[in-house]
Amino acid sequence: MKQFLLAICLIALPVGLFAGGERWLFPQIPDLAVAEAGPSLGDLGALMMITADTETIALKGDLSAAAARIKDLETAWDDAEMQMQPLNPTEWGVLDGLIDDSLSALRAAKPDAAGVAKSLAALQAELENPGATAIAGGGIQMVEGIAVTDGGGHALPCETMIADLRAALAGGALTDADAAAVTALEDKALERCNADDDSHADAFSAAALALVSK
Amino acid sequence: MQDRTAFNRVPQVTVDFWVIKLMAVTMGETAADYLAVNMGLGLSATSLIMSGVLIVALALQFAQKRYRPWAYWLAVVLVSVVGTLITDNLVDNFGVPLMTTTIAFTALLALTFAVWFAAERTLSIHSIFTTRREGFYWLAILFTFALGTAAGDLVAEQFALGYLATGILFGMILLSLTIGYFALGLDPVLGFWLAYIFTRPLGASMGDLLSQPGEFGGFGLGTVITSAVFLGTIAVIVLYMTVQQNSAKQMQG
Repeated sequence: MKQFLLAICLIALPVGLFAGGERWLFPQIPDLAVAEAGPSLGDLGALMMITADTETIALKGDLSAAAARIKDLETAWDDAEMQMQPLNPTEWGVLDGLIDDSLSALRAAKPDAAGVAKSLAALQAELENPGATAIAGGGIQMVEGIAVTDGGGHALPCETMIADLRAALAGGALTDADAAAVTALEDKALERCNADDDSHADAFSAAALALVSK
Repeated sequence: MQDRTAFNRVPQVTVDFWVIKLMAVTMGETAADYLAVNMGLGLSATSLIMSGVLIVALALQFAQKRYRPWAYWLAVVLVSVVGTLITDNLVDNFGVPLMTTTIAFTALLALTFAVWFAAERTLSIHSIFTTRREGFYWLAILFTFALGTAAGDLVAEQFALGYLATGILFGMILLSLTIGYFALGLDPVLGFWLAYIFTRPLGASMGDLLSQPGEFGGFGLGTVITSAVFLGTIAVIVLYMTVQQNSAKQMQG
């Protein structure tokens, strides 16, 4: 009995120390699960995906393709303005400014890769910010119109979504550009899935599925 | 060396034991993920295949009737894979909450120890002489892997810690248990099994830290390089253990 008490103390002590020190040592990593609380502009999943997509393309060095892709973000953002802006005008204004930064960075006469990456990263970080990403009361979350969670707001098993994606790929013909984008997204989804990061994996799978079923 | 230790069927618990155990954990998880996800076999098919391979490996290990590093560590890597898959299956296929699996595997592990003690009057890991004792030993190991996976995932999911933070948390627990063993008289058998549970999440977070890309909080080595490095290190240590064991035997004989 004494041994069990000793063991419990030996485990509880470092856990306590860690819990005390953790807040100062490690800044919170933005996460979909963390983002579920707080005020909301509605579903920003689609915007996050387009931003991630643009980042991926820009990272490969094809800035004109990235500029073409971010046009979708501009369209989606403008389309949602009437509905989103009144929900949280402050947060909406912050995001609007960051989107403008990214657009002008990519549309500059001579776009600068580092500046593009920086503005896109800032935008993505803000989109993932807990205050901005909330979905009131859980419910099914969508990315590009595809459900990525169950009714309780829990991420679907990433293995299931990847299987769906592969089934869809087997059935459809794609243009070369789309096929490349889908493969890149599938790789990202696999990588996240292997790291047991279902929420990010599902977002990538959903984006790929959206391209396939386009 | 005493005569009877030569026929203990499991290794002495030394520093290289824990180093190789940590790396076996990571290898096991990466292999399971690769088969289930990259090759698209799915969780159920992977579980069936790996359980089959595990049975073969355990049959080889039991047939040795003594400790041979290659057979023992092959079995550990495969138990690691299957233990992880059991938890993944329960959570992803059957929707069992991680809290439930954590409690259930704690109970199963306690039950294993209770039956083991009732049958053998000892839980000593230094006297695994009989096939029945070895059976208890491997059953306990299987449950520690399943429990370690469930508890580690639970912590990661509930508190959304990064890989480094998770690694530090479990590293601190292991350090505390080590101090307890050397300085405060923690029971060796209890300490061994607790360390066996906590090295599972530590190994998994270390592997993720090395392999995952920077944007998700890792060092970006990739799973292939990380696994290759770990596999190579395991092979070298097992080889070293085998050579050491043989020379010890020659000295004896």
